[in-house]
Amino acid sequence: MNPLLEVKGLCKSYRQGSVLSGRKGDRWFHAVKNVGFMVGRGETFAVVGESGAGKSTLGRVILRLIEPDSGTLVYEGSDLLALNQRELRLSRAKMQMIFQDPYSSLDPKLSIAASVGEPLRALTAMGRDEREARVIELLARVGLNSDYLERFPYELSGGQLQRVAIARAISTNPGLIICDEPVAALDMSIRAQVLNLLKDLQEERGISYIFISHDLSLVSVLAHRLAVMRAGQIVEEGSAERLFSDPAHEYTRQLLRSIPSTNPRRRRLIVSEAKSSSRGRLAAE
Amino acid sequence: MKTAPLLSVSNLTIQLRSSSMPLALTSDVSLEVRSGSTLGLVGESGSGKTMTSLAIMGLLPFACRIGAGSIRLGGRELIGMSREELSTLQATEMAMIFQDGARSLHPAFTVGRQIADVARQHLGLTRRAAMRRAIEMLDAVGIKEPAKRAEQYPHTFSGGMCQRAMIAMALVCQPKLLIADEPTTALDVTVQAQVLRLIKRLQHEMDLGVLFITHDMGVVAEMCDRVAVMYAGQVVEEADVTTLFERFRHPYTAGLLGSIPTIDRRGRSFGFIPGTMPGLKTRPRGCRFSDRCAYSIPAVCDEAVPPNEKFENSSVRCVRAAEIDLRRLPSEPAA
Repeated sequence: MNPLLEVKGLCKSYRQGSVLSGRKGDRWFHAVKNVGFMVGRGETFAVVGESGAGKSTLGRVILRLIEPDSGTLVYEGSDLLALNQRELRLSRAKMQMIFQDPYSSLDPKLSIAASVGEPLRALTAMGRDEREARVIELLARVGLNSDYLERFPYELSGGQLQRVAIARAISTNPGLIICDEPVAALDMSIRAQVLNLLKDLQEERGISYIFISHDLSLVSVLAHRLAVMRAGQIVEEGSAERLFSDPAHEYTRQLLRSIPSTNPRRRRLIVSEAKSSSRGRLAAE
Repeated sequence: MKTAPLLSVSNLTIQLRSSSMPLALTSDVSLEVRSGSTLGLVGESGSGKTMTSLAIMGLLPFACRIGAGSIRLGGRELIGMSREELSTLQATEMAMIFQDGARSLHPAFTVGRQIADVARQHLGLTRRAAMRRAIEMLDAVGIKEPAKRAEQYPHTFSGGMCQRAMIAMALVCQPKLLIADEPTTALDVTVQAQVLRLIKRLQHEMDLGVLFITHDMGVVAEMCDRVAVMYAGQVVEEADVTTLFERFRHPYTAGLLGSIPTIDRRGRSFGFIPGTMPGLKTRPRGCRFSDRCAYSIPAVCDEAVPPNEKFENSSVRCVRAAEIDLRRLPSEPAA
């Protein structure tokens, strides 16, 4: 396989200290600890885990929004950690990110057109007219007509804003998009719409996703391969097929066991307590 | 089986007070909760599920008022009751827990004190007896070292523990009805599983009627005996849980079930509902789902608000419920 992105031995830790005294302690908190994986072209690599596992830090470290302590990051054969600030900025055209909360990831003072056009203005040599035409095309692709061009984020719903964020992320034709819980804040029916959009875009354009989520059943819909993270480390990695049918690590099994069943006849979490009378256990536990 | 329901809400309409033309947040909502059983209230944000539950608790914000309908708890009408009477009922007969346990606890008082205060106020216990009761409750909800924990402040509790403490506080006066408003949405899956089990266990021990508000169909399948699906301020389908999952009749319910990502449906693009839920002022005149519904036909669905139609195990608010065939969804393979 000729991977698009190769991550090796990535580490990021923070010194723990007292916020009040400002003194730094000797203890270190390892947010990301020796993480390595590869992402192929057109592939969705999911990173799942519970809160505090280090998923979001990992996503940000890959884009160097947070600088890692050590490790290697190779994108299309070039070493991302060797880039200087200017080169790093230009590399943003190839690697983009979609955040969980579209209300805070879009500038409230920029119109929708300006937000979507910003990467084109900053990272490409496109002229103004060409840019405007491209923005209209991008918005249309995510299902928003030109009525939205001059609107502002507060006028749009969460689902619409996330579409705008997607349009912005795909504007420069990136090869990789890091999606950090992109649908966690959305309602059920809207969630399905946005996931289907991401899937369609991947098929059309061969984009790779690193899909960060706490929700295993959601990830199962679009991940080709996934990694389960806990306490900064990947505890298990594998193809989605294998990982869901035959999880090797106890923690993965525990996560899978905790997912509510979607069939009321086959409950997983609540095991027929109705039958085994549990009255009087109040004091026992 | 056919005993009088613990809670019965009928034809509840909640209106916004302000505007000249009264806008209805919910209209004609009817629900029943029986002792020892769980009614799930599902719907997306803005469907009116939280407003309905606040109305039951007597906690509607000032901007809203009850326009019509009745709410009866154990045979007593709650609408029109004085503030004092309601305040007593709010602990001893019914109690509510919220999504964010950490933010529902007061940060400046110890957890034990907050639970004990409820017991002192409503059970007339002495300070010492109330604290003993609080510790018992913390123990009952599975908090280890309850006596030590009771003296600690909420910030030292994890999210799951805060939710357990909230449950302890809600149940300290042994109410008959528990309203749980998305109690596990903010929790990690493994912690969610523990809290759901806890609620189920306490329900059995105390014969609690539970009104469980959630948007997660998986949680519904695990927890509920009956389910009411809300959309744009109305209950569009009400059924027992297996009927709802297997013989759903409202197109919106079908869409919701189709939107669940499940491991069995891996890789396949899942069905979804186009568009978004209409706002208060833009609701269609007839069936409120008609503008997003694949089965809607002009001059029928957009004419009049459909009444609740009764079926064997469900009631459905759709004029075409009897004639349309909603393809059975592949949920989990039958055992």
